[in-house]
Amino acid sequence: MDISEKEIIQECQTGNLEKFSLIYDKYAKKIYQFIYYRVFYRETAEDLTSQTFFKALEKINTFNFKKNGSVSAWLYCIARNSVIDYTRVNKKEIPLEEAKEEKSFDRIEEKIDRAQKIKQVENCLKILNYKQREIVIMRVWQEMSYQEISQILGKSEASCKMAFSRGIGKIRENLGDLLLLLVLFVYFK
Amino acid sequence: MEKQIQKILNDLYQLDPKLRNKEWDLTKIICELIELKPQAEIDPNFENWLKQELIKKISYLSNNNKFNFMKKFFYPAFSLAVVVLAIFVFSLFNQNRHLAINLNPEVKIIPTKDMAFNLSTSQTVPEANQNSEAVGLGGGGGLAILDRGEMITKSEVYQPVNYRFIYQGEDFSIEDEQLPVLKRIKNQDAVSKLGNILSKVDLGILNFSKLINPRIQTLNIIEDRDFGYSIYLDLMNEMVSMNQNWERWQTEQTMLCQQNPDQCQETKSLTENDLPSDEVLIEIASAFLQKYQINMSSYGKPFIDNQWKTYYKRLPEGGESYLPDIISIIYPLTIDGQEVYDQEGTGYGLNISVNIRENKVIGLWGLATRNYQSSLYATEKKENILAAAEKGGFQPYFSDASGETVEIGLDTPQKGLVVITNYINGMNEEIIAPCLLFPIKEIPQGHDYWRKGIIVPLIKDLMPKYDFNYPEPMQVILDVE
Repeated sequence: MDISEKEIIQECQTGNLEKFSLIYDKYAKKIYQFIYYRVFYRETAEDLTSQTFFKALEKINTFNFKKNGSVSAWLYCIARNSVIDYTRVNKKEIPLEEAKEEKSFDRIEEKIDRAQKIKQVENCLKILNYKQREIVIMRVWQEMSYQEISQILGKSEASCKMAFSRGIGKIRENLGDLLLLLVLFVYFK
Repeated sequence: MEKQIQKILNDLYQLDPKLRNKEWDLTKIICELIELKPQAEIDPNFENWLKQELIKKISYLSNNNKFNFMKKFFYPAFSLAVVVLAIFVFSLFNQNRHLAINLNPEVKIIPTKDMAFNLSTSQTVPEANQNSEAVGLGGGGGLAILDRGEMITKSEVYQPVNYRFIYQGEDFSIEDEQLPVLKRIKNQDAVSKLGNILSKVDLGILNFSKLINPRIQTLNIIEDRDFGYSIYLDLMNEMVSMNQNWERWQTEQTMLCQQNPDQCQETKSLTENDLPSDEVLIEIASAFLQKYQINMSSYGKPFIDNQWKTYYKRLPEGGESYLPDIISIIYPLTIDGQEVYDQEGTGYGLNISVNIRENKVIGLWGLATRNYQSSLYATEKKENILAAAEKGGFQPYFSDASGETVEIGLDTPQKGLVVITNYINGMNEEIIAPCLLFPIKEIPQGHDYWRKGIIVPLIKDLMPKYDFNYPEPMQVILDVE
C-alpha cells in the first residue's frame, strides 16, 4: 500500500471513500480467516465478513486512532462483534461438524481426513472457555502479537498472556496423552 | 514453524519459568495445535464479489452525500427526463418518495491491487490494414460519412498503397515501471431501484408485483414536440443516447418527400460553400448541451470529426461528389488531464451529430457514467513500443508488393490514454490504458492519410500481438471496377 493507513482513514473521513478499497484489499483474507476460525462454516464466514466490511465502511467516520488503536484492531473488533451477535441470535455455537460441508469436489479420503482433523480440533478447543479459545486461535493460528490480541479483546496484554497460558495448561492436563498419541500418529503414519 | 513455537514458549516461560520443565509436553501441544489449523482460504470469487459490492456502496455513499437522484442524474443531465420520470414515479406510486440513484457522469477512480484485471483477451491484430473501407472489406463509418456506396466513382477504386511508418522524432524514455490501467465499472443501482418501484405497479394487463426480482434494463423517453428527441437510457450499461423523435421531426424536405416522393429524390447536393465553419458547428453543439444541462465535467475541448475530408480530397476535379449532411463533433473524455483516444488516435468520448442542412443537433451518444477501478501494470520497453509504432500500432497496414510504398514520418510521442474494449464472458469491458500517440509528422505530397497519429499502449500486457499469418486481401476485390 503506497499510502499509510492514517492517510487512508483521513481520505475516507474527508469524503474520499474510494480509498476504503485499499483497506479491504489488505484485510479481506485476514478478517475472513479470523471469522472462519470461530464459525468453521464457509457460508457463515462469508456472510459475517461482508457484514464486517459494510459496518466498517458505514462507521469509518467514527474511527479514531487514539480510541480504536489500529485499523486492524478496529476491523477485528467489528468482526468479533459480528460473530458474537451471530452466535447470540442463533443461540448456539456452530457445530464443528458443519465444516465438513467444504468443497464438494474433495476426494472421499480427503473428506475423512478433514472430518478426523475437525474432531481433533473440537476435542482440543472444547475444553477451553470462550476467551481462552479466542486467544489460542489468535496466537497460534493467526500468529497475532499479544498487543494486537489485547487491542481486539479490550484486555491488557498481561491478562491475555495469562489466559493463553492457562488455556495451554488446560489442554496439557486434559489432552496431554491423547495429543501425544495424535502426534505420534501424524509423524509415523 | 519452529520460530513460532519458540516465541509462544518464551511467552509462557516469562509468565511461569517452571514451565521450562514441561517443554517437551508444551512443544508437542503447540505443534499439534498448529497442525490442527483448518484450511481457511477465502474463495477468490467471494473476495471479488464483496469488493464489487463495497464499491457500489462506496459509490452510492459518495454521491448520496452530495446529491440526490434528481440532482445527480436526471436534473443535470436532462431536465426533461426529470419532469417525465418524476411524473411517472409520482403518478404511479402516489407517494413523495426520495429515490437516490447513482448515475454520475464525473470520473471516479477506485484503486485496487496490482494486475487485478483479466487483460488476456487483448486483441491480436493482423499484420494488415484494418482501414477496411480502402480495400472494400466494409467498415469505415462514423456519422460524417454517409451512404457513399452508390456514389463511388471510378477514380476512387482502391489503388494498393503500402504505408511504411518511420520514427523521425526525438529520443524519449519510458520512466515508469508501472502505470495504472482503468476498468469501467457499473453499479447498476438504477436497474434494481427502478425495478423495485416497478414491482408495486399493477397495469391491469400485467401485475408487476407478481414478477420475481424485476429489473429495468432500458428506459425510453420522448419529447412529444416538434423537433423533439428520443432519449434512450441503457441502465445496464449506464449510458445515455439521444436521437431525433422521428414522429415529430418534420422538415421541409421530409414533408416534400411525403407529398411528392419524386421531387424528394432531387434534393440538391451540398457544396463546400454550404458547410458551416467549425466554430458554428461547435456553437450549435454547445447550445444543445447547455439546453439539456448535460454534465460535461469529464469531457475536454471539442473538435470536428473531419475524417470525411480525407475521402473527399481523393475525388478528381469535376468528379461526382457529395458532401455529408451530418457532421460529428467530439468532446474527448479526459481523465486526470489526459485525453482518451480510440485505437485509431481519434478522441474518444461524447459525440454530437449536427445536420448541416437544418443546423440542428440530431443525435448524441457516448454519455455514460465514468466510474473506474484502477490497477497497476508493468510498462513495455521503449524499443518494443517503437517497433509497434512502426508497424502501425493497433491498426497496422497490409503489405502489398504490387502497390506504391508511401513513407509516413512519426513525430515524438505524447502521452495519452487509449480505450480498449475487452470481450470477456460474453460481456464487453471498457479498459482505458496509458498510451503513446505518435503524431503523423510528414506525408509525401500527393498522398493523404486518415489518422492523425499512431497509438501504442504503454502496458506490456496490452501490446498488440501481430498475426503474421493473416490472409492477404483477395485479388477479386482489388480488381473490381
